[in-house]
Amino acid sequence: MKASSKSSLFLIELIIAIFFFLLASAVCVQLFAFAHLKSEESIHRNLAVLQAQTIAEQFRNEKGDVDMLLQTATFDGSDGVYTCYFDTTGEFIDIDSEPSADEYFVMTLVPTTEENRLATLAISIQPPQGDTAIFEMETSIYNSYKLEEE
Amino acid sequence: MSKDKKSGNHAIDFIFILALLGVFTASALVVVFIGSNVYKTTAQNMEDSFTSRTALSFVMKQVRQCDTVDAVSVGTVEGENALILKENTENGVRYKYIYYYDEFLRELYTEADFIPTLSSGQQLVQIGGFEASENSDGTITISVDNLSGDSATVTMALQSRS
Repeated sequence: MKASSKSSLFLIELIIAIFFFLLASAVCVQLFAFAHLKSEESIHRNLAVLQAQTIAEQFRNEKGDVDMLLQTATFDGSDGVYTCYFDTTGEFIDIDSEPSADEYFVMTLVPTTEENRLATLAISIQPPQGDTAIFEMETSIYNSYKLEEE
Repeated sequence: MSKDKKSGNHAIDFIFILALLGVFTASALVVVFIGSNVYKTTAQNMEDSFTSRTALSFVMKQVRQCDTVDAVSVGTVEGENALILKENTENGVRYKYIYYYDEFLRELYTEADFIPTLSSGQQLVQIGGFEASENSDGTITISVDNLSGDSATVTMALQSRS
């Protein structure tokens, strides 16, 4: 009788310990998952920054000439909004090759030119399977190529 | 008979508690294992990112600093790819070679008549590879591999060539 009571008490203690352990482990696993997602986001953002920087540098190199810039990769679109795609290694890809949705980033370019010849390029990059932009930037340059043409 | 039943119940109680303790321990180990894996991956990613971004930032800063007419070019040091930056100083022309050798990004700052060797450069940061190339449109592409083998590439427009 005494032994049975002792084992019951130990069982209850163990069940209470497991209950608290479950609560703590649920919180921990959530934190681990969050940390993993943040780490992935950080990798994606690093790549997005480098790709955006490359496009911005090429825009500058072409002196604000968007038509020349659009020849550097396979851009889709018209009416001032252009889109291209690149994979997780930074290589530009053709969307017609139907890559898996978690394998490519979407880069959107919106060029505008003001009357004073200030050409601005808005660059926005969405991560794989992401709806919102992971990185956005704007770069401006006076489009001196038009002066050269004149 | 009653004594045997009591003894059997006692054994089942003991085994059940032991099994529960086993499950508890296994779950605790699984959580610790998941945590250590996540930490290891995150730390590795941070290290990789730090390595490649630091090396890229350094090279880009050097190029911007030396961005004058005919001062930035891509060549070789003992047959290995190198970024060559020319500086006109008060004491004459100096060359800065940036290249990869023996697991390190290296920088060698020399006088114009000095013949550079791979081993004479100063170690900057441990990386997996480095490559610089000149493009037909006048831009320069710099690529740095981190120790995990992932590559970070950026293209730079040169003010002096625009």
